[in-house]
Amino acid sequence: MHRLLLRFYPKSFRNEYGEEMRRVFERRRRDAGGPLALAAVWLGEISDTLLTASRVHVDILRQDLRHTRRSLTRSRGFALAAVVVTALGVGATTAVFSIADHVLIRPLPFADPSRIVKIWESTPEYARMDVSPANYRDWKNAAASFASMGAYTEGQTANLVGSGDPARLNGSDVTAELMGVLGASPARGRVFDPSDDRAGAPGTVLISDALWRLRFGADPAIVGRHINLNNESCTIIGVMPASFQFPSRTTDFWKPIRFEADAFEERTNLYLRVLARLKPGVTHDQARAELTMIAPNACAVCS
Amino acid sequence: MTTPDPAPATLLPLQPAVFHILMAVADDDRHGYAIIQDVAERTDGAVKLSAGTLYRSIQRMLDDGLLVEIDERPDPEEDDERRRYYRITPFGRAVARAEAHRLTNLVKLARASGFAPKRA
Repeated sequence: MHRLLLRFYPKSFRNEYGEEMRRVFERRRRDAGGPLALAAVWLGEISDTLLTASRVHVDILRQDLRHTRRSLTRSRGFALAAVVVTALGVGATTAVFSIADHVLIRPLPFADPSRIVKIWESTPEYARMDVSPANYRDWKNAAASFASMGAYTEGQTANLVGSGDPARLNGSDVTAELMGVLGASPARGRVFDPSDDRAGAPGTVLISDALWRLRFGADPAIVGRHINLNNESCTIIGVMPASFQFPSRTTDFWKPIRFEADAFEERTNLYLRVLARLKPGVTHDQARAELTMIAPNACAVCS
Repeated sequence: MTTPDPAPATLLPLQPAVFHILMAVADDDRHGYAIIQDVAERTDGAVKLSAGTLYRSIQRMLDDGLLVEIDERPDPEEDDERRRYYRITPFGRAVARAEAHRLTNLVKLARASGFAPKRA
């Protein structure tokens, strides 16, 4: 029983003085006359152990800190190197974890992300290529594996003029279906519908939360306002929420893709990124087989 | 390389338990339980050191150079060879004197303030 009590002390202290303390306790126990005195000895021992053991822990911690400080003061070069190496290690670990957290651990910030697939074309030279409008059209019209399919382009830029200082904005052209594939809803206004995709339709644009706040002062009446992008008048039809950062964190606006008739003539014109949402119960392999059957030359893959 | 002892005043004021232990080993080397008994007798039972307090204090006193553990067995008849005996060091003695001096001055001040009886 007393040995168990001694376990409250740090191991080093117990190894050093445990036997002595046990011997002192035995003497006290022998000297106690009667059960009441014996109980008093036990109570005293328990309360003393709880109090003193915590103090001994603090003593040892202080001793270690003092020793560390002395050691570091004695060899400043080593201490500096140790601090730098530790800082670099912590920094690198944090950076790697931040990336791994976003890439591997956190789910994509879209509704039911496990059912969203990216569709590529494969050529003999390259395993993954962007998709031609003709293949996108055929897949979209014929594939039964998908609940919806949409396309977008990356790396669009536009000059915004007439709304304060001129600014160069980053954007993406998207088909009307894309927001539905991603399960994205606007914070204000609406997203694109098929009428926005038609050739000759009035210019429309969706803007990011950051652009709305920084350039338009979070104007609550922003929907319906006209802006000038690359000398084209566009109506702002909606503002996407701050959490929607697609295809990159710096995307300021989204405009509809409007295919001209001749866009479908050439199947080697590969510039579309295609996303689709699998129907429930459809596997990647089934979808891949269906896409390959529809456009054998394209040999599509999903990932 | 041994580190020189610091000035005795740097360890003042002493914990009461530490001062009692120094007084207990002032004339004889003693083991732990003998120290507890000596302190109790010296104070008419007013101070009863617990084992935890005793050995925590001893550990710090060994670190501070106030005590040393000795291998000699001072009392062969009563000796249990598993027991550990402690001896006051010259530095421990100097620190005890400095503490006694500090307390004496304190009592003088208390007398002057009427908090302690004047000497007969």
